[in-house]
Amino acid sequence: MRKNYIAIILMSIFTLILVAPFNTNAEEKSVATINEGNLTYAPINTIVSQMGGQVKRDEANMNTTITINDKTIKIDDNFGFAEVNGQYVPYETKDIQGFKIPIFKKPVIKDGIAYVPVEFLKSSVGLKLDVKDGQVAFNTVGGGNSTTTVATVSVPSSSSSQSSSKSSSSSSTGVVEVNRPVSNPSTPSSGSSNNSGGTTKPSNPAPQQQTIYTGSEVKQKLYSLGFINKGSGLVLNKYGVANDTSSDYIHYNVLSGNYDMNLTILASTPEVDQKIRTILSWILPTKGNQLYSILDNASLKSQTITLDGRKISIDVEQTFIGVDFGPIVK
Amino acid sequence: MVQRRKAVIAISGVIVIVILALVVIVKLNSNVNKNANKDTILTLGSMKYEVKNIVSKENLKIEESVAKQEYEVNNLEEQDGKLIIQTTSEIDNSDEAYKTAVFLKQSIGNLNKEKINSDGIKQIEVIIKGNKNSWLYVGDNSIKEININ
Repeated sequence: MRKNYIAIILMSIFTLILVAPFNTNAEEKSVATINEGNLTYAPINTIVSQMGGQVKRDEANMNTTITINDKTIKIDDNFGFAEVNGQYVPYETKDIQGFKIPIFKKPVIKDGIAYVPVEFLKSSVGLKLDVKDGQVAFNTVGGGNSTTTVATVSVPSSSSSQSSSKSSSSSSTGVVEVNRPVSNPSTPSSGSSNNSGGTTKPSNPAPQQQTIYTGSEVKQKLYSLGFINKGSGLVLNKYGVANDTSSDYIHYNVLSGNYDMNLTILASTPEVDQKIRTILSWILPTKGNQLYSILDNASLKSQTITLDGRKISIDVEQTFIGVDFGPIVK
Repeated sequence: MVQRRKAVIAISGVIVIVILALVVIVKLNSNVNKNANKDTILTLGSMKYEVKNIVSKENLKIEESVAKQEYEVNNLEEQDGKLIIQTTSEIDNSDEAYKTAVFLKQSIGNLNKEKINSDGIKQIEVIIKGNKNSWLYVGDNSIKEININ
């Protein structure tokens, strides 16, 4: 009887030894790619989280920080370069007269998911990817059930579909999101729609606060004031055209890094003044009028101030007033 | 009579010489002025430009140097050990122009180490043509606001 037990135990151990090498939980997966220009783009968040990397989404600042293969990569939705271990790296280069030239090219945001060139993921991030038939294949760790935890700070966004899609994509990769609901009586909150979709797990909801808009969200709202696209930014033009700089009233650009956005006032009328007041009230929930009073001063000088937690750099030139707004620091 | 005629000829000759001397002096002076004007128009590669202003950026943090706005590299020129990068951008202030230029210099330098060594390039200079202003970065802690001719 005892010999039988020993035999069974030995066989079990032997079986485990045989099977163990094949039971790594590694699984080949693939996700759809998209093509833009002559480049193939892949969804970096989905791939990295399924490969066992960490993905942290900062919705307020519209950027994603990814950690994999001892590399930390910061992807900003509105910025033309990735930050890899503190160094700015272009997603794409082009060849001019035998020199490699970095191109300013933002990641492609499709359905709320950031896509970056596959070549960038291979060469700069060091991922092993295989592109074929509109798919990018890769080996997952843990069968795709990564232990990635993502802390997402959600703020109301005018592009609600984008935020909503981000949540659903994250949840499909085992991501846990922590939303910070922010009150917005006049605008439906995309953060709420995320929660209603059942894809997020709100925890420790913050108390009701003033609406805080990011540079990109302000940009979306500016269309309602008559702004039109001009380059990567927007312009409010006397005649509603983008190619008549001499008739421009206001330029608006979304920035990254130390500043969220730039507002450059080139000319004004009472009607434009009212629009400036509105814009400032979006950027500074409680101090918009105060900043308007500062700007509406004939003896205004270049200065840096802090209002509503934003660092504001005012640059007074002969032909324009430039105002850079930093992110809100709490 | 003859003596008087000789005197008239001599005086006429002196007058002619004086006038010629004056003409030569005026001519020389105008050439000096022309050369003085030429000194303000500088050449870099195929570009002729004048420096309007030199803006020091010593207090700007170098780690913030990155192109925050879109730009396009239009042309590269190699001349006398310099790589001249010509770009266009909607940048409208010298801080952003400086940051973009520093970034381009560093990035292109890092991406092309072998070619830069093989071509004997010792210096990278960046020209940014903006909507309102243009800038030239020659690698120091300043940026030159320029007029491109």
